[in-house]
Amino acid sequence: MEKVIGIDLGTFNSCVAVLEGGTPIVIANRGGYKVTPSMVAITEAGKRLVGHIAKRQAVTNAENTVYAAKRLIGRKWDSPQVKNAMATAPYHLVEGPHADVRLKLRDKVYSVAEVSAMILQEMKLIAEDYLGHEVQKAVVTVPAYFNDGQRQATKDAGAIAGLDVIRIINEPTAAALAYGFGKQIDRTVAVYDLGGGTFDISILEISSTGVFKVISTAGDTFLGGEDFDQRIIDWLVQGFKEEHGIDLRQDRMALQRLKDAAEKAKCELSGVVETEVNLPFIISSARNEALHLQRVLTRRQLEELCQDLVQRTVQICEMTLDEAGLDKDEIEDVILVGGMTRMPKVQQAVSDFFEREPCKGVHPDEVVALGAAIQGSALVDDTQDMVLLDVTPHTLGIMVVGGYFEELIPQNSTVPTSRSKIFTTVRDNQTAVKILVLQGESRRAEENDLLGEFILTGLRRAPAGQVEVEVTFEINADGIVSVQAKDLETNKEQSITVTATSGLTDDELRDMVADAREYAVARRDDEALEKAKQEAETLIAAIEQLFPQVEQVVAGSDFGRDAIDKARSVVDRARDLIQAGDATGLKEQVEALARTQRMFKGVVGKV
Amino acid sequence: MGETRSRKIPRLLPEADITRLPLGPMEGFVLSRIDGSASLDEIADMTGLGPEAVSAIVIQLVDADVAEWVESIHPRTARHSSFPRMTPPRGTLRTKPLPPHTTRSLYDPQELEEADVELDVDRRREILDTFYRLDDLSYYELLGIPEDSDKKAVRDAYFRLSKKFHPDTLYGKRLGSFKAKMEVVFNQLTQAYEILGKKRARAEYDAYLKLRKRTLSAQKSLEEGRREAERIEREVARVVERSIVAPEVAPTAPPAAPPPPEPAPGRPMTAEAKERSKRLLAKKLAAATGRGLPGSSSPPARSHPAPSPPRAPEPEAPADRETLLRGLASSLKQVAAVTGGVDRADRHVEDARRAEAEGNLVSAANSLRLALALAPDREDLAADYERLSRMVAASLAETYEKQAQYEEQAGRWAEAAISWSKVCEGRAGDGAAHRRAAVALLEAGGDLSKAKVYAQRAVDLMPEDAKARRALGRVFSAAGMTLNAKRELEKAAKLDPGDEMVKNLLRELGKKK
Repeated sequence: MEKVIGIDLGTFNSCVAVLEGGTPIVIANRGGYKVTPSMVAITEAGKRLVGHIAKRQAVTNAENTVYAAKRLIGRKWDSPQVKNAMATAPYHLVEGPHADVRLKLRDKVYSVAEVSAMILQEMKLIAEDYLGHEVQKAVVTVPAYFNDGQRQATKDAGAIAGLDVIRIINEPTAAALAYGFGKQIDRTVAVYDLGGGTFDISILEISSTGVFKVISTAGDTFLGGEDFDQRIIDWLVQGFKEEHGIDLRQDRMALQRLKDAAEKAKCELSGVVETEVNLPFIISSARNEALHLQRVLTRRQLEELCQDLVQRTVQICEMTLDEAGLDKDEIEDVILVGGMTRMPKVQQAVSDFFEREPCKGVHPDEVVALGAAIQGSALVDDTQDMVLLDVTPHTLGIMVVGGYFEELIPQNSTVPTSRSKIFTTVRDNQTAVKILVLQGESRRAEENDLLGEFILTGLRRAPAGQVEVEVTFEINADGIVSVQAKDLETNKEQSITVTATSGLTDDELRDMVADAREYAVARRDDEALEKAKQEAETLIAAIEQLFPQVEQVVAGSDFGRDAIDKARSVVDRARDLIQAGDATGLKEQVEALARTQRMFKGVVGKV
Repeated sequence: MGETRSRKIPRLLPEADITRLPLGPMEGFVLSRIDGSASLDEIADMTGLGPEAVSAIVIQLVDADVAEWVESIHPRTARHSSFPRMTPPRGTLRTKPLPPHTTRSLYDPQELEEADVELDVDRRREILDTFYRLDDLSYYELLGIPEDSDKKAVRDAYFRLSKKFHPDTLYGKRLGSFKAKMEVVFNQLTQAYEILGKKRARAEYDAYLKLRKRTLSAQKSLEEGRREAERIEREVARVVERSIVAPEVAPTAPPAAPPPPEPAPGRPMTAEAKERSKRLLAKKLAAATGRGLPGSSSPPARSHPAPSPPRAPEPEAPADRETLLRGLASSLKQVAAVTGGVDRADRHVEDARRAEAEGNLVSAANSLRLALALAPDREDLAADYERLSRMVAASLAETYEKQAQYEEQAGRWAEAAISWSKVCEGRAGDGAAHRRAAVALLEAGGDLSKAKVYAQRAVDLMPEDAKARRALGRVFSAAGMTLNAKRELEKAAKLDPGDEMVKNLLRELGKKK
């Protein structure tokens, strides 16, 4: 049977694994290392370097050495991440023809997918060296919170590398597969994955019958080890500036050295309580004398610098548990994944939050690739009695009149899945509707990612609201999204399968959203929304009435002020939701309003 | 032969079309006596025809698929249950419509044969069977678990079935149209798991299922009661008709001394035989509603065929038979008039009182309906029946309301529309229910003229209610009646100036001009 390799394509390190005789193993590269830096460089001679060798020459060839390409994959040119990368990365970014990002290395321009493909190709070679034969199929992992565009771009990278990526799976899911594989356990677990560039948290149910079900997943694609490094760099730069009045950021070479030193210091501080950052001859002063950077960083200082980052991950954990409808004590094990989870402060925060010691049995750098290999084998091998029930990490929907986003498939829906909703025309004699397929969590359409668009024409001329169009979203087991719109009267339909990255700028998207107003559709009026509105309005009125009294009662206590602020935000949010016409959100908010009202009544009643 | 055979009870198949049968008057007569409770013997007595002849006719009818045999254990007693059943559990000989096994007619068997699919036939069948039954299965049935299953059992069932229906389990296989069907089934399994696996969602679903069962069984029982009553009405009508058919004969003959026989072939109607047939008819009428006659008034007479020698009559002398029938009919009428009808109506009334006292309104209404069928001219009963019907509808309305709310939440507008309309049946004065019935119909894309009736009624009930006006406005707008729509929406806007939807609708209508 054909071998399928599993590749963990990380922001800073990648790893490849395969199933050998029923056991997943990680394959070491020629240098004997099990992880390979996700770095690509082009030498002066035009030679391509990948992995350790690229990393070693990075300082001397900073401008032509790409790291963290994963942060750029599937992103738009004017996105904040790209702007940020332009400010901090030593390599040159240029705008591509579709407002995408390109990398300029030695006069040649590469797409991000091409650079990622070079890394995937390297991983493929490592596996082929070990197996002694060619490999064609792979399962590649991505952060759970990657959107469709980023996933597509990763798949494209695989294709460029000559790999048939048979499935993209989420990193924390892969980790859970590796953790539960062959164990015959029934357990609900949380996977806390803090890698170099991204943070993910997933909750899964593992069943002894070989079913792995993701219950919910969340994360932050802009939060990872690099942010911790950045804090150290900032601290070093700031200190140097105070001492010498020179901004080290201006010098790309210095910046690359700072980066390396910061990462090294961070790693060291996981084992020792203080370390010295020592960068001699980092820059020349105005008077041309060589300046050195030499500072001591303690673990305590690092923890203070990064306090908010750690805290943010804990908040996301809390949200995810909430989303899963689970209490902390229902989590039976916590799996730590990603290099950053070696940091004692991170481990501390996780065990404090989940009130249990995290599992020590998995290797945080290798577990994801192992899981990918397991899934690959489970797919192609009939004898593997295992199935993974994954979820879609983002909400999918369409734009409706007023520029709002109407959800069709909520986030954390188990795939494959399909949902339909009926929409109506909004103008008289409207003969066409434009369906903008969007992904994201914002109520405003333009704040979400556009996956595709199409127009359904030939509708009957009729007064507004009379022609009904049924829109169906479907995500199949391979994660492919397809959307269909059907005129309920004529059964005429149009559909698209979302495939390519759109490569649109936000401006273009905004224009498109504006354009689409002409062809907008409206959610069919909804009694549920009406009911929720009414309930919410009644509760808001009641709460508003109580505000002065409550304020009087709790005046002077910090706790009381907090409570009032919180109540204010609950009310404000409910008003927003009413404005947005968001029935689902509002229904939930009604509960929060009811709680607030009870609390207020309690407070007032006590007096 | 006689004894065992004669105890057999024939019954008419409810959906049989008798009119198309090539029957003679004799067969017709026998046919009219078949009620599902009288045995061959008794029919022979009632008709004055010989058991053999009756039996031959009945066999003929059975062969023609208009009648069937009832097991003689056929539950006269069981019929006392509070929900009168029209057709007792059938165990036999049903050769006619309604496919016995649903699976067979679910889909075209050709679908099993789809070419170029790497699935064995059992797997194909399993997928198709599940796919085509999805709409009819409750979440419990879909997962194949009892309704009291704990969370773990729900999960285990979901996981077990996921391994059957998740397309990944057949990754790389050519699945043809089966793949999409598996995905649909899997999607539904997930929904079942998500509802049943969460306490609150499951409680809501259970409550909904319970409501649905309750309304379904109440509805069914009312329906059965109605059918039963209609049958009695037909029965009564038939008796009356017979007495009209033979008017000259009946009046001339004094009830005590019926016309001296034009001797029916070898079987003169002796006074005794007639007395017996009277009793039998009374009994039969009573049995039709599951009541025996009270012991005192007439014992369940099944005496032996007695003096007259049972001889085969048969089609020798139609004229004679005609006379016989007339005579019989007139006497039957008298029997019905003198004894049966009134007594039995009273008994049903009693039943109704008792059921009402016990709080079983459905059963009470049914009993009254039966009483009314027997005694159509009693206005007191009619009024009482009206009252009870209203109470039933009102109590059902409450249940339907909850059901409708759940259906609305689940976006099942067509079902919600039906449920709301039922609520309206019970609460003619409930404006909100009428409005929601209208809105649900709108949402479901249902009958706009019905929606208009509901919305109009809502407006009549609550002229000052903006939402009712809005609903009516929307119905008009949906029906393309712009001017009316505008009028109502403007009124709605006056009543509630803050209503965004009304503003929007008006804006859209305004543009139209």
